[in-house]
Amino acid sequence: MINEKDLKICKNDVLLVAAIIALCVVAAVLPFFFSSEGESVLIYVNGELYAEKSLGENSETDVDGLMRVVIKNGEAFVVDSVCPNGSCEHSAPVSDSGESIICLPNKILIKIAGEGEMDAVSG
Amino acid sequence: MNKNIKKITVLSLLLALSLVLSYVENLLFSGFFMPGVKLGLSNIAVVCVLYCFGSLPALFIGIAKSFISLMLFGRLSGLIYSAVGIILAVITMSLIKKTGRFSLFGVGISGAVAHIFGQLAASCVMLSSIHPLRLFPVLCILSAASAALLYYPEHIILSFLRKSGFVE
Repeated sequence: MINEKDLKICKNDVLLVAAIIALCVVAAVLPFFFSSEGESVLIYVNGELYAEKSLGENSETDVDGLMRVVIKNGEAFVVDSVCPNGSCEHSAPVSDSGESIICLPNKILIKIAGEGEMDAVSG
Repeated sequence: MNKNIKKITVLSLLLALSLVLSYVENLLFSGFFMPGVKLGLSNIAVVCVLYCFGSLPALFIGIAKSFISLMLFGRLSGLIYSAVGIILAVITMSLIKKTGRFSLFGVGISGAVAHIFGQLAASCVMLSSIHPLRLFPVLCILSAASAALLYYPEHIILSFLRKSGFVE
């Protein structure tokens, strides 16, 4: 049932890997052409808008006791999350329109909105 | 030996092996350099089942693995992401394998990419937002790289199983 031929790396594999890398590079680079400075921070819990804060002023928001969202010097980041792996706390601070921090265990999405153009994309 | 008994025994051994591998992985890589990114050691077992027994047993092992390991390591809330990811991965791997144009290497990598895509798609649905998919490029490259690394142990195991005549 197992052929030896199936186990050796062949030409098609290399093509597949090249295609995947090309796809990823295109998908990674594209957003940069459309990115602009963000204006506000939108915090969603369970897909519903929980709070909207301005990126311009420093603030600290408690999200349902699950985490705190800190806005400092035009950047937003997460501290004191109750989720088990803390990947949201380790996420890099976000500041450009369309960037986001996601906490799956808490079902919280923090995204940066620009001048209304991102709403059209994210529906 | 009765064929069915042999199949059941080997499948349950591989399932146990995949659980041990996910435990080892949890010890070694939890939050190692980017939280949520793991080596996927336990997927070795799923790929081996796919090559030895076919698509359906691989799907079964995959689902059982994600369900039991999430129960063992206490993150049952992640079941939906994990299950969608592994189901998509096994379906993609068996389709890619059926074409006959790709080797173990290509099958493993396509599975890893489908796995991460499934997880992100599931989180898109859960958060009702398209935003998680923005992480796709980075996670896709990382998981493809780990699948490329896993090709070597998979190759060793499957060559051994082929030569020993353990699997017809």
